[in-house]
Amino acid sequence: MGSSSLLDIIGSSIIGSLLLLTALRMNDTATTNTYQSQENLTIQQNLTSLVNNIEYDFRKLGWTADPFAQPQSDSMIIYGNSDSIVFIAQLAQNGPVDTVRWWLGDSAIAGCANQNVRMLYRKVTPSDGTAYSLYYSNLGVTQFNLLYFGPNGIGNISHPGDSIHVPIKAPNNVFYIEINLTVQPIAAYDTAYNTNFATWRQIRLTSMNLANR
Amino acid sequence: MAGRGSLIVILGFSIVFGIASMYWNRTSNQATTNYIDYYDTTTAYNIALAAANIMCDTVYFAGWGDSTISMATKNFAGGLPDSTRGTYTIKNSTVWYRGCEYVLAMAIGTYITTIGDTDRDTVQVLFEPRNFAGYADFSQNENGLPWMPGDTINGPFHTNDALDIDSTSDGYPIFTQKASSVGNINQASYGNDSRIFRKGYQHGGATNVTMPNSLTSLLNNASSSGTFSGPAADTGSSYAYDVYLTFKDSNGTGWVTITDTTRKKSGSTWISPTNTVNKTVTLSSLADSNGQAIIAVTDGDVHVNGKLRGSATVVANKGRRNTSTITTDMYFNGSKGTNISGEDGNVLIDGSIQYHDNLGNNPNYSGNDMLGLVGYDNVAIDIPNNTSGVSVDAAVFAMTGDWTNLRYNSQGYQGYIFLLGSITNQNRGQVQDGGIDPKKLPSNPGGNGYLKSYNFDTRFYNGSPPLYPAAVKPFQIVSWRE
Repeated sequence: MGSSSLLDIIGSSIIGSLLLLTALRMNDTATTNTYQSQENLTIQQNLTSLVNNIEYDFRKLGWTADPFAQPQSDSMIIYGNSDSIVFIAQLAQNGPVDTVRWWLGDSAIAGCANQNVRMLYRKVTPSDGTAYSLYYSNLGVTQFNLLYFGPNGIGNISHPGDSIHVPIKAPNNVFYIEINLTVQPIAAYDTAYNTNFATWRQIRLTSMNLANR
Repeated sequence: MAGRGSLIVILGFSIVFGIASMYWNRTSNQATTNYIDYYDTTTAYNIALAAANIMCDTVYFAGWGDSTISMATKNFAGGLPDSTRGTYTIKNSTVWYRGCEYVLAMAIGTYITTIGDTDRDTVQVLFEPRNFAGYADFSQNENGLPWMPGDTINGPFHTNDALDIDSTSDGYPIFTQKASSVGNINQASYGNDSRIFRKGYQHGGATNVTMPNSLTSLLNNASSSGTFSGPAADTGSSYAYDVYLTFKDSNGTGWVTITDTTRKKSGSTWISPTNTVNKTVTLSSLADSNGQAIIAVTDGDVHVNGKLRGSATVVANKGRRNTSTITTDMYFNGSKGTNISGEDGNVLIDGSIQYHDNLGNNPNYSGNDMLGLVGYDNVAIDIPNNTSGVSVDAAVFAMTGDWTNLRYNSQGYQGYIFLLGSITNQNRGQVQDGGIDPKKLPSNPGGNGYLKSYNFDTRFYNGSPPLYPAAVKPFQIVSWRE
């Protein structure tokens, strides 16, 4: 075994180490990408599911099949705050008139890795005396923000463009509602919550019934 | 050896990347599919929404009955990459709620997705003709009468005629809500005067609001107990049929005393009633199958006064008589016994008519009582001499005639008309002769007739007396379901 063999061993060890480091690096990157792409897919699916539900309810705000049962413009929205709303809507075509409430939980979810996530609640109380239904989802919602605007998008006469102060005191002044929804992974690889999120904003999601007065 | 090792390394990496890329591609595809699914459903919704707006536009201007709207499915090209993939269909039907007729229209948007699936969404809109109770003041013809300083119209205003404004050194009239006219304003500069029009003015091209030419639907919905007709034998120009209604509130119940009278003319003189029926019944006993009290006089005049408890619409229709030749002892345009056309079909207010819990002519009344006074011809004050004024809590509708005071130019100053409700008339009538000078009050201000204290009943924004007449067109949206 001469010096050339020793050089071969040293050389191949170095090359082998480089290959091993490359493989480990590749594995780490692949793992990161795999988790992040899965997280991205999950939050996008969660977001569209939630949006479909929100749109279904909010588009019926103030609607009743029987026009005589339609609430007055000052009572279509019973309560409105930045992260909660209560309104009247008949959700089912042939069902009773419902009181619908959406709100965001005010504390972190126990056991959830992402402490920014809040539970999003939906409660539907039918007017016919049947039991209410309460749904809540831990789908990674970190923001459920509602802004209320008057006609032509004016919420504040003194500062056009600003939204109406919440909680709203005169529901009949509300013509448009802006809804902002942000979803993050419930548990993210390497806790990269701030770089892995999906946001949906509906600038003027509202029922035509609100503006129909 | 080196070559074989390299091959093994390359092969190993290829296998690892191949497996990983399959997973990443699948994830990526799912994310794209999720996005496209949302896009497809949103596109179908947007097509339905666009179709609903096309539908509303057409119905608003044309009405449904004579609309040119096509029910056939149409391609929708707007903004789509392939115009054949988007279509919309519009359907309509007539629906009834509590005796009122509505048009239920549906716009169905269809979108063929990239993989050939069909996404649909529906927007459902309920239309109704605009109810005339929603106007503080409406006229087909303004009769050239100007709105004067001191006039305050504190609700929606519309005329199918031109608008005359009389702005003098004494001030100007005030329209506190939106005002509109099909014709122009007599002085264009006033149209932009925010002191006069506090919520804007639309002139010279506002949509013509078509009044009905029949009260048939209202009459048809009256119950048999609420319908009054003159005796079949007493037809012709020698007979006059009158129904007198006095509303009362007693023991928490609304009552009405009904005096049903037929008079006969002998020569030029009207003689004693040939037929009189007098009864007092609860208002609810006159209600139709939907619980709405409609008191209909099919061929005569109706006279009203009293305290109303509940909701009712009183209607007087032209009947079987040859009304163009009737001469009566009724005043009109200040002259007694004037030969007027259409004597039948008048609602005559012969004393104050008020809601039972509206004390002191409260302009912000928020109780539950509602009254509609609907005349085929006129709705008029018919009080010979009453200088203390008169209160009228009602929506008044004069289909072919005026809201007026029958003695507007012949009885001296009579005080104020305190009206809470709304006014709709074919021709804007007069309640005074213009000679009253309010600055002379409380002394006799001179002139004839009444000064006006009119307030729009804001409850009529969202409601009306039972089956109160609505416009033939335009239609308005009642509700909207997406």
